[in-house]
Amino acid sequence: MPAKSALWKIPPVIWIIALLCVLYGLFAPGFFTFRNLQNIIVQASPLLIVALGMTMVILTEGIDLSVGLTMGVIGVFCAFLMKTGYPMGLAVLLGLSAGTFFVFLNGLLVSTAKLPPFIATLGLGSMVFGFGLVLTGGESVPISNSAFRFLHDGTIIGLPMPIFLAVVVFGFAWILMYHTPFGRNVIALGGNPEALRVAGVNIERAQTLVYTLAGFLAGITGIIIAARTASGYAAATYDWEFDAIGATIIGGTSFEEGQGGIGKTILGVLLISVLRNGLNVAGVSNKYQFAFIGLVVLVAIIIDVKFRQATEGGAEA
Amino acid sequence: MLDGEPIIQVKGIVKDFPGVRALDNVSLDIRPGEVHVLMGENGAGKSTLAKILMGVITPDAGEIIYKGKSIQIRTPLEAQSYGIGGVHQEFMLVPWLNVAQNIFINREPKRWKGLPFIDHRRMHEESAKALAKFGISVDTRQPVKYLGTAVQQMIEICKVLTTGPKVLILDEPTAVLTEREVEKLFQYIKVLQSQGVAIIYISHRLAEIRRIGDRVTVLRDGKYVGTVPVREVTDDTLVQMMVGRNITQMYPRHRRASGPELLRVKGLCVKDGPQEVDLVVHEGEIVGLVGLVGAGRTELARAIFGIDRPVKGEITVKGKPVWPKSPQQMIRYGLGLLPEDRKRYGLALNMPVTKNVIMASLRRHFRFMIDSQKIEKLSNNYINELRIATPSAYRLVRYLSGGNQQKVVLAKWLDTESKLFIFDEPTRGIDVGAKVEVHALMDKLVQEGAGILMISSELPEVLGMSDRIYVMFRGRIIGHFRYDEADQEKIGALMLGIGVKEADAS
Ligand SMILES: Nc1ncnc2c1ncn2[C@@H]1O[C@H](COP(=O)(O)OP(=O)(O)OP(=O)(O)O)[C@@H](O)[C@H]1O
Ligand SMILES: [Mg+2]
Repeated sequence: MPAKSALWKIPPVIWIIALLCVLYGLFAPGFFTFRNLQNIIVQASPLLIVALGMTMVILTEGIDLSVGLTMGVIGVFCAFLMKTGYPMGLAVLLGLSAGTFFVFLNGLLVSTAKLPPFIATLGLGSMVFGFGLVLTGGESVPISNSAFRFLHDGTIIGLPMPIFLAVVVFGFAWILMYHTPFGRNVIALGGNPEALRVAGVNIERAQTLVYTLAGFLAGITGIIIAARTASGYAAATYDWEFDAIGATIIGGTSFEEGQGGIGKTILGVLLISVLRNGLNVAGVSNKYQFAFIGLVVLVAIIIDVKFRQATEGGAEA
Repeated sequence: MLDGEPIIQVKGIVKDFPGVRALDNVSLDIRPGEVHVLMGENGAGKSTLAKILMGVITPDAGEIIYKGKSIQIRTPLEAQSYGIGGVHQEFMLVPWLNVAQNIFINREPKRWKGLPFIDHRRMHEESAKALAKFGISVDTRQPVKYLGTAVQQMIEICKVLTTGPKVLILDEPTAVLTEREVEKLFQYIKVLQSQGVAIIYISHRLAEIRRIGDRVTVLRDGKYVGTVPVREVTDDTLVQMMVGRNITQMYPRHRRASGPELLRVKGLCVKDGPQEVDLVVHEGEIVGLVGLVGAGRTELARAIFGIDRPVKGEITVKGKPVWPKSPQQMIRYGLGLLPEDRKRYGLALNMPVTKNVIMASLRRHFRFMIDSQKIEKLSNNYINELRIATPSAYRLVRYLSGGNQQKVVLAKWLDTESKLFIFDEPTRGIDVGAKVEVHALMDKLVQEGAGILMISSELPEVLGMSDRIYVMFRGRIIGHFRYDEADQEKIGALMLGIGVKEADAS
């Protein structure tokens, strides 16, 4: 293959992000301010955390349609515990454990009961949501605890908390994926689970673990969002799985053969966050935002798939 | 050394699958330092026995005795703890893991003892070292997806060799290798043998068994037929033991005068592949295409069939110029390709035999309504004709033995009524009995006016079946013979590029 120019090697997502930035720079005054750019990163951070878990799940040829609802309910649970007088640390811990446990059940349904992941996670998601509604009567539960609010509003070593958490989680996920057997399991579960099995790995357990980890990450995100809105509301994040899945796919992870990785998911997250933020700054109403984001995500995926065919097609032989 | 105590004995092993008794009271013993060959028709139970020893399947009854002690092998890890390991017949690599990750899957060297952090540097070094023993130098950081099937197979072999096995099981390891790699593998087997490793070797190739086998055990329909020293048994007896009858003619060929031209390829070039290839296939002809792996045979077939785009050249089908754009288009022109990598391109593993057989020819049979009885009848015809071992036409293909899966792909293409077939390694992994059937079928096809371009790494097959033979070397056709001018030496030498001027060879 003749050497292609370096420009050609840049993934198309970056071009799309750049294009969006130019457009917004022209049409949405206020987009290119330090405050707003920082805002984008702060908004992107929780999405990155869920999307990392989603990427791992998708790499196993699975999917988790329960993350949005689980996130909301974890927020509710924390808010509820704090309202009934639990100290904040314990509430967060219990909230996280509860969320992780829910998704652990997801994992069991998929790995052991062999349910198709989208059915299992959809079913469990609505069960969890129902639980959240019962707990709160469908109302939003306010959180007044300022230590809890710190999880979103505070800064640590100069970084806003969400960014700090995203960086820590990303580092943790990276080590797990690329420096421990966990990552090998993730890729192999999607690529050739039989190969894992004959190598002596308990594939049911490995699969359950991936879902559980994704649930844990969704839990962290749910708590950040609850801290941001200073409330627990079951439906607060009901559509987040769409963004998480979109970011994963835009990042180049595919549903087949365990192809992809968590690195490029950052780009997918950035694309979605830039897109949404710009629309907000430009004052586009929520209704149109939905349709528009769906469109851009689709286009980005199509371009990416075509691009990959064009650059990798020859190596298939 | 060969008379030593057996390292492993199996006694009265029984294994049932729904509708099939895969192993029925099978017993044998394996001694250190011997190459013990397992033979038998497709579906005889060879792989099932191998998997039982590797801890992937547990037997329903019977006993396994390791160095005189009765043991149970319930998991692959238990098998490993007894030093039993092997290469499976199926593809057991993970496409997007790199070479080293595949070789050390679930055995990664750790950076610190007791902690789960992988020592990548050591893993890559040791992988490269293991591959180098076979003269393979690939970037161990590449996903195995990008490598050719032969290299992938050598990776599978390195995967087990790096465990230092005491009992090494090789289930049709050479099916996707060419002579060069086979040679390396056999040399290595000799080394292992001298170190006292016991080797269980499964293959359909008599020539290989003669070269490396010490004793051979034959299975038929899951039953034990007998164990004999390789030196004391003739090919005919072995075949007789396997299929229960005599085979007189391996290559039943009725040569006829060839008819009009079916396919002409002129000056065809494929990026990084075949260069300036000219060839013709006529009606009523079987044309052999030989060469080493990497010579570009499969790439040529894929380009003609529209899978990969050629960069320049001309192709005419029955005199009409065609530029291959997609397999669908070429199928409409009457071409059929039996691909080399059947698992990936030829089969829907999760569908029954019936659907696989009909997949490429559905539209030919049915205009409006699909008649499932007719499909069943059709499938049963192929099941009988090709001797596909399956309890029913509705069995999912994934549950058939390796060789029987191949026959299903073959049936699929035979059913398309193509006029021109490209067969890429049509009898790889197929047992002797069925091989003759496949050869007879190919002969019948050309008798009826089809033309066949046959890629094969088995020279006797090419010599026995072809009317004309092309030899490919580094992407170019460097030799062309009528069958009566060709012989093993001439073609073998050309395949290796011996006698080719450097200017042509580069
Ligand atoms: N997992 C399974 N489920 C159902 N049937 C199976 C399964 N594995 C094997 N069989 C059946 O058991 C029989 C023996 O299969 P096996 O794979 O051991 O044959 P083999 O001797 O290795 O044949 P080949 O030469 O084609 O590889 C076949 O009839 C096959 O269809
Ligand atoms: Mg087999």
